[in-house]
Amino acid sequence: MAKFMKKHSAAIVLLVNIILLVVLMLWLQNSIKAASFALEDLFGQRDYINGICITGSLHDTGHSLEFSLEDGKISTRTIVYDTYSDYLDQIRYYPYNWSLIDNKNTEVLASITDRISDTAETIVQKQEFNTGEFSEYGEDVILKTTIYADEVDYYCNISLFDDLFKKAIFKTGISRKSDRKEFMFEEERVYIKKENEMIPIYSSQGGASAYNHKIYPKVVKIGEKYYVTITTNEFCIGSGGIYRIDGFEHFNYEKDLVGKVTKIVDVDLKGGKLKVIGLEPVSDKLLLLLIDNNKLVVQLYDTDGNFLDELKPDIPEVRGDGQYGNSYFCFINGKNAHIVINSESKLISDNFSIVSLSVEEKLKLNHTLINFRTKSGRNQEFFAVESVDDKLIIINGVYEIGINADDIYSHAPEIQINIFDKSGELKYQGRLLTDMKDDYEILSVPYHVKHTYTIRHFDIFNIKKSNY
Amino acid sequence: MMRGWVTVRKLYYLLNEEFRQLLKPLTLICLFNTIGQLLLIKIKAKDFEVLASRFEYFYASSGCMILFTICLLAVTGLFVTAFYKHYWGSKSIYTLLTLPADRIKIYLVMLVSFYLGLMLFYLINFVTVYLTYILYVSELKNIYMGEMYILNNGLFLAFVRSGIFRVIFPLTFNGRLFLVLTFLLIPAVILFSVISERGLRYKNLILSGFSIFLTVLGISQRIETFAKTPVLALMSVLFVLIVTMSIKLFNKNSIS
Repeated sequence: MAKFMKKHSAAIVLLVNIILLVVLMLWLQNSIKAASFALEDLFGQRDYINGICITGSLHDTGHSLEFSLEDGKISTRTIVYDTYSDYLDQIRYYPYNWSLIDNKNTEVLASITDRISDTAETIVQKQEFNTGEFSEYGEDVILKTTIYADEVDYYCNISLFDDLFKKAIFKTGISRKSDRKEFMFEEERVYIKKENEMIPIYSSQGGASAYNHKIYPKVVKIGEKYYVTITTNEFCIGSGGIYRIDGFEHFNYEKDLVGKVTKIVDVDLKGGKLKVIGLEPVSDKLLLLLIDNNKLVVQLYDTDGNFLDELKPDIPEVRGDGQYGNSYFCFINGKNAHIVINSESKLISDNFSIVSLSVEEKLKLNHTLINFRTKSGRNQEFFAVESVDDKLIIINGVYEIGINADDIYSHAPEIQINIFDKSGELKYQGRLLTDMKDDYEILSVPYHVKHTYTIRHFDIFNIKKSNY
Repeated sequence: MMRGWVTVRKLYYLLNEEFRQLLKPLTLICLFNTIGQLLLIKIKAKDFEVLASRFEYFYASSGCMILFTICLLAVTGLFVTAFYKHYWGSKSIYTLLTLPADRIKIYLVMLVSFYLGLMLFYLINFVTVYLTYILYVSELKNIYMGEMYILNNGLFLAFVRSGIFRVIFPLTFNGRLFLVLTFLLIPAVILFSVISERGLRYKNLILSGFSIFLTVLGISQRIETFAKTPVLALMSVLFVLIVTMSIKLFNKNSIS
């Protein structure tokens, strides 16, 4: 035997190598198939899902389990990618990808700044500090000017992401007035103090930020043009609406307004009784979302700002505070728009109303769903809402009551598919059984380790009519 | 026909003879790697905080990857020694070079035996990783509520999610191509370097150095992001160039 081994050692090792390679490949094949992905019926008949095709993926930064749920039957395939950007490139053009993103493009950066109104009453306070720092020219002195104003105007600042100095800065027409002079602006100038003169070195102008005013720009793009609205709150006065960016300009410190902007739709805020909550592009039209006396109003405009139609869906009061400009989600697919409205003012809300529309020359209301709640847990997030024929399909993430607080905001471990009929009656509810929960169940691992973990996320690519 | 068969038999004999001297130390290195990694896992498993983390983190923090690298270096060192061994003691290189066979065949036999050895080490390391995973799972099962830390399909997920494991076993086409080229390049570079040294062609070592630099860079930059077409093409060109130059050196009587 030893002699045989000696004589054929290379051949034996080659054989061992081949066997190990085959085992490795078989293990790989089995591992790919070992991922769990199934649909469990919770309510209603699976037949109700016939005629619908849902595609999506369960992915992390290394791989994606792509699935297709067509007429109730699931098929999956696993794709391993070189880099995560491969996946992000793939989902870039899927319809629901942008629904959960506030500003629906990555080409511009938008922010709101505030400036003291011309009509504001102000108090000016000036202070001079000796820094105690000397240079060969003399001592550095700081002259600090603080202005307290009772009224501010909001300006919108849009920059092109590729060239941040290419800007459009415009006055929105929205302002805020207070009984007190509560809006503080600070300016610091640094001088070198000489015997008879003060030589300026630099100045910094502060206070031009509206981050705590809960007012946000929302930018959408139709064709090559950007359209902006400013979401407002009950403290906003003046008039908002829709602004079209006709041109960007290189930033110039000496100019108050930069670029070319046209206000195509003017909305009177009625002293704060009317709030603008968002703007959505649906095919080549603009949907302006307003709240008038706590009731949702959806207005349709063309890109020139011509009013086309208006809808006032019969849903309960809109209470979401829209802290980050997100008091609603809008899922857009072709000419369909589905608006998910937060009907609770809680931090973690569980009660939503859903309005499903079709946009042609006029608005057509397809579904209105009031008090959408889950039976087995709490709503965490919405992945997609779509209507196919007379069915309204809602895919949402749910977490169980009592789950670890750390995990509540990161992701919903359970995904549900809900199908409603035209009358708003729940006809089918199913739960997708996946391994995703594993990623969120490691509770006692120290945070510094845990936060580096790759975790799986769920995406819906498309929901459409199947060939059934 | 008969002549061809005789040549193949001679080559086969030569390959076995060449590989035989590698086998024992190679087996020892593989055993050391496997037992060492299992021991490291066992020792690290005593630290609950690390054990409760995911396998890829646990594996990396246990030092197994360092051991694997050391053993890989030992394997390359073994190739170098195997070549120089022909010059030591029996000075069998002179017998080899006077054999009535093409010198190219002697070169190919050496190269193939290196490939076989490297592949064996690599594949046994994969089995080792599998065993370490089984050990990790059993250690988790032994602790209170440990099972909740076990991911379904955890080893596959570790291979997909961890940069370290993707080096050991890339799962994408580009990554695999890079691995194959690295496999082809490493033994060829080692052989080329020692042949150049024997032939006093020290400038050739720059080419060897560049090839190794490219490979190490690829591994350190996470091969799948690094292994884009130009890099793969460059590696292929380097491989062909190195093998051609090695054969030329071998044929030219330029080694002594």
